[in-house]
Amino acid sequence: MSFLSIIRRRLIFLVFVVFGVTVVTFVISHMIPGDPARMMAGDRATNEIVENMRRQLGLDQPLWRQYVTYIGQVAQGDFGISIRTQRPVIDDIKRFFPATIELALAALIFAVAVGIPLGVLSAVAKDRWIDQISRTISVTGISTPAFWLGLLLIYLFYGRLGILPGSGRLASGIAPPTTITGFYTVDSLLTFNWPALRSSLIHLILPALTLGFVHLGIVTRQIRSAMLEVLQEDYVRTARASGLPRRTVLFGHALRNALIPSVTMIGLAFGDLLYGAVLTETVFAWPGMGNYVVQSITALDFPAIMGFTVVASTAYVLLNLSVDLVYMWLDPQIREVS
Amino acid sequence: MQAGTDSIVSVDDLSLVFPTYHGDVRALSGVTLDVRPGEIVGLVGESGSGKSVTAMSVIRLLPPGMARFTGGSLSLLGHDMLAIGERALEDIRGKDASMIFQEPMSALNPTIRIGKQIVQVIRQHEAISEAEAKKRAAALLGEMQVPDAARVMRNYPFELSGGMRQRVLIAMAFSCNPSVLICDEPTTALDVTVQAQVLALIRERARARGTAVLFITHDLAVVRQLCDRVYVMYAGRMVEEGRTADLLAHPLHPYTQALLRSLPELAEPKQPLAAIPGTVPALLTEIKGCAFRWRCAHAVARCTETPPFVSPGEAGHRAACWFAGEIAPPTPARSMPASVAAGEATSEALVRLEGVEVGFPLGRSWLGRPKAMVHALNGVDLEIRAGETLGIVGESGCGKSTLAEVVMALQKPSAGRITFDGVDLASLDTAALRTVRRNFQVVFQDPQSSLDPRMPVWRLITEPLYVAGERSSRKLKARAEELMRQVGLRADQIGRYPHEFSGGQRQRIAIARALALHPKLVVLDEPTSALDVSVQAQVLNILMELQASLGLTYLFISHNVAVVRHIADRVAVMYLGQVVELGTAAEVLDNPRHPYTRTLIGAVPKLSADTEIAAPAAVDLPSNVNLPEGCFFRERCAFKAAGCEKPQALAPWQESGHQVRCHRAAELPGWAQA
Amino acid sequence: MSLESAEAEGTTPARSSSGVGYLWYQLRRSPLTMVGLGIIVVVLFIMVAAPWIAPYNPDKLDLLHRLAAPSLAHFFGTDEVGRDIFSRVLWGARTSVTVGLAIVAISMGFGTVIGAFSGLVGGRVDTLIMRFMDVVLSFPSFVMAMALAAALGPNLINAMLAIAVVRIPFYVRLARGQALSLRSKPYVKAAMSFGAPRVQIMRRHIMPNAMAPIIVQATLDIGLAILTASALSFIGLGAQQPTAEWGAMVATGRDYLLDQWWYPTFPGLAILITAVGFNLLGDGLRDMFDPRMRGR
Repeated sequence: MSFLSIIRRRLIFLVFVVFGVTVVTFVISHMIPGDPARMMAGDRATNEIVENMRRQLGLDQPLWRQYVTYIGQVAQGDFGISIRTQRPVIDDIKRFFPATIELALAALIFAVAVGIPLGVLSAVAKDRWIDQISRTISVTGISTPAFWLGLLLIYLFYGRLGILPGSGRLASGIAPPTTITGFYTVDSLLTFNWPALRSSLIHLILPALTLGFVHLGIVTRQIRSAMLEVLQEDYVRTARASGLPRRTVLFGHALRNALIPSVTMIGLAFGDLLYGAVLTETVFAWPGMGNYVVQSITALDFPAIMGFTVVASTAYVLLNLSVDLVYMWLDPQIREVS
Repeated sequence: MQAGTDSIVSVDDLSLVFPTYHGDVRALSGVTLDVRPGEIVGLVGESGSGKSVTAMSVIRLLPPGMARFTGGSLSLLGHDMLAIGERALEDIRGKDASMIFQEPMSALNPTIRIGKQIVQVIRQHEAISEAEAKKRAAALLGEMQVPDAARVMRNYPFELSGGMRQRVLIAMAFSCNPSVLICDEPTTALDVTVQAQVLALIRERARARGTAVLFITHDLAVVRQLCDRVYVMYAGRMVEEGRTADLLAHPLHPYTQALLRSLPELAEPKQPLAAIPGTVPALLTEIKGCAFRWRCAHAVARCTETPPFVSPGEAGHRAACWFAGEIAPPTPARSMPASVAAGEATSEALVRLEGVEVGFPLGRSWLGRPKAMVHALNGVDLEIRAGETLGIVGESGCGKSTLAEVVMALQKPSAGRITFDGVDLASLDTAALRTVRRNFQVVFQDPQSSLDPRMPVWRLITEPLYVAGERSSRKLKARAEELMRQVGLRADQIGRYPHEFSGGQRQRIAIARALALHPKLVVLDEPTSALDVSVQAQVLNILMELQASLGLTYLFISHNVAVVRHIADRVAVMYLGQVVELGTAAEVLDNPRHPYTRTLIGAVPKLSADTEIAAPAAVDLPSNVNLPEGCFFRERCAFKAAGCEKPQALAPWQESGHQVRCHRAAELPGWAQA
Repeated sequence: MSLESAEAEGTTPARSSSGVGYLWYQLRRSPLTMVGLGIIVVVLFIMVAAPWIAPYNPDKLDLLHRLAAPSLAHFFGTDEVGRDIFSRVLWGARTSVTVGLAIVAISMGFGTVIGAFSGLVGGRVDTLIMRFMDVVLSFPSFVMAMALAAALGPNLINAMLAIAVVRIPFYVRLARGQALSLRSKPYVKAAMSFGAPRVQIMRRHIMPNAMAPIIVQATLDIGLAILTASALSFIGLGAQQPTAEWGAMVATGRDYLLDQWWYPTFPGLAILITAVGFNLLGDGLRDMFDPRMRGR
């Protein structure tokens, strides 16, 4: 299968996903007992105003027509107006999306940088004390409620020690750097805005640790089991029989092959990171998509919820696509043939 | 033979255990072995004999947690291999002693280019530049007759065939001029023509470079072709040692004698083989005395004491038996039981295949159209006659297993017609097909995976009856007991599960299951390939007895020419989905006419022949995706001439029923093979 | 000659590689699995015995002792209305673990049946079901569960249903994959050659052999389900006050974090320990069912 056909397949798939997500959220949004028109118009609005609002929102139309209208708007990048913030949903998403990505990337870097060596170590020393410790860490990571870990870290580093901030992206006195990528750390670095860089980095530490710890567990476990499998392969025996030193066998031969199946896993874990961000952002008042969607759900702000799910699913499908491409690039059997 | 100082490898009284759930498995008990410079030493034994463990131990390749040495010594070029550290071992492995293994398909790293894998080994052991190492790697590949070495250097393993990969591994093993090369069944996974090439290569290169070889195999004929000296192992002990010719001609140990007698090569075709009764002991308890005594026809009270490993006559030929030299191997000639002779093949066709073709789609475009076709069968005309054994011989990819599935009606042919007792199978509806299907049953290669691990034996055996609608457990059990007795198993064991039986017993269970519905035709798809020779003899005997007593018809598929020669009445040789030669077993296998059959039979290692087998040229099988034009064998054929570019038909040569798919069949010189 | 000659003493293994003894042997070799099993036994005991072992009524208010620090009278301290946190954590096991088990039972039950059906029927129906599942798997599952729970009305039952529904496709895939890989096993081919109908093959060969990996996955999933359910409760979409539920307790305790650290800490610890128990046991079971580990 060639790169092009993979891309084509995924894009066709994306259409179905967006269709499915919008239908489901649309149906859910019409299951709720509340009346959005009344909600938007406010408590004291007269029936006439509410009716006007309903017509204005298209809520008097049959359901399927409302859906078609909605899809037409989505296709043009218009997700409607948020009931809660009264701003176009797309603008909100543009504002909050980079914060979430920045957090998720930082967490991923932490999880991968610690998880891969830990997983390799664990597999090599299988059933010895270092394996037991690493397995304990990974199983704890997988089993930790992220929201609770966040609270503990805030208590310890902010409440007790007072060395790290417990909420937000920047200290209150510091202006955000000029927007280039939307990542405060990168933007402040690019604009040589040192105070903003320092502040954004220390604000990133606790949320990234919280979110990354869960995924550290997943990465460690995956690398360990992939390594254990690969270490039993005949070619590892060949490498040992040829007198290659242990380090070369482990990193040059085994890890290389263990990473191929792990790429898919870690890629999917990144998708989960985006969702795990929902809880972490709530705890740390991180102004990202997770926080936004929790507030939207609590307010039953369906234009915002639907906008979020469409964007998140699209991101997820595109992420899968890039994972597929990396996988193909890593595996010579697929790379050389296509 | 004393452990001389001149030995490269010297194993003395070595013992080793594997700790398991069941207790310590005593894998090696006092093994003694020497390899001297420049000689090729064989190490023979059946599965579980400890031969591979011995080989791996020589360069300490067993993971430390998995095995524990409990006694003896092991030295390689004067190094005490049991005392040496891991770093020093790394310097010895690949440089002083290198090793190649059974599975070339998985023995190379799939994500690293061939050239880099060889260069890595060279530069690990020698301080030379990348460029020089590359030059040497290419030269080595050339020496191992790898065509287009420069291109292969840049290839990944998946781009090469199994035979080519084994050549790459041999090149890698020779890359630092080791003193000894350890080969652990390097040709077992290869087709017989490729095996011949690889064996010849190992022999020539080792001789030319003066490298000693320790060659582990289960195949005595391979030993005969390759080795100067041979050791025989049984149940983790060394039972016999000697020069190859001596040992095979005058075996001293009853086990070696029995092993040789159980080979179909040395027996009269269609006669019962002298199988070794029973199975190998499980080594979970310490065995005092001779480990073979329970299966030995000569065992006496004294055998409970450990026999010395001694030489009764000429120096260098010794055996671990109290009666070494006193027991003459009995002559294999036995009177033929009347029942076996009674099985008479008729000329009536039970199953007839006419122009059968099968193609499998290879990948699909996203519209669902196949991108290419694998042509598994390309016009097969064949009849299976009632009461006969029709043998199908061929190498991997020749379509023999697809043929089995087609005959079993498990696979629909894409063209052609199959009739059973005159009824066209394609004309039957599902219900009628189900009824007809009861007449043919199948026995697969691997009894381990063809029996559901979660069912007791009586349920397994009677599954066809259950499917046919019999639900009474009492009746099913009664039939199971009857079938168990029929295949020579104990009827009181029907409540056990498959893993509680040995490989040979499991295959008997599979045979019993095939017999449950009184079938007419039994398809045997490599039924003995997963078994040791002594067990293979048991299973072949059972099959022959059952055929005689029940009047069964067999379609016997195998890559093993000797087995087919022994059991088959008629033989069809297959190549690229076609039958290229057809006739009686004697006609086809003793006097082959088709050049491919000749290549195939010429490549089979012989126990008796003194001549070294000639290695066919190093070429890969043509692809069955893009079929060649004309005669499929043309490109590999030594007798290629004008006319070969036309498609060939299977035609009788001379007057007999012996058919050959070659227009030059009559012109070829006579077959002269010792 | 056809009869096996007398079996030599010591030739057959004394113990079989299946059965209770073997399982116990494997467990003993893996201390972490034993820890997991121990945790689960304790948690299940607490679930059953909560009314007898809890020192206080979990819902009894004691306004005189609000937000008390941990002491011998109140091991985990008290909450903002003076309820004993230790007793509430013990009672919380009933809610949280039951919800976790129920989620897995629902998703595994439906998923396995749909997956097996899909694999059995094959062809176009199979393709359609699987493509549909692929689409569902691409949904942001936690957000979907949130939206569902919000729309259905925030309570524990709805949260549970929402999580279970979102989890079904996962088991569909697993069960179908198992069915397909078993279908190519020689013993299934053998059954096909006897002309066994597909439903019979499914029942006799595929289902029993496919269950092991599904059960392993389900064990690992119980931990995840407990975590997810408590997360929904934490953001207010699951259990509501005054139900003793761990996630909801962390949520209310959050407001007292800086001054009464014990309030959110102990319920969260209970979630962590329970999830660790199921994950350790699941890991251990997976190693045990791994065919390469057999007999070792």
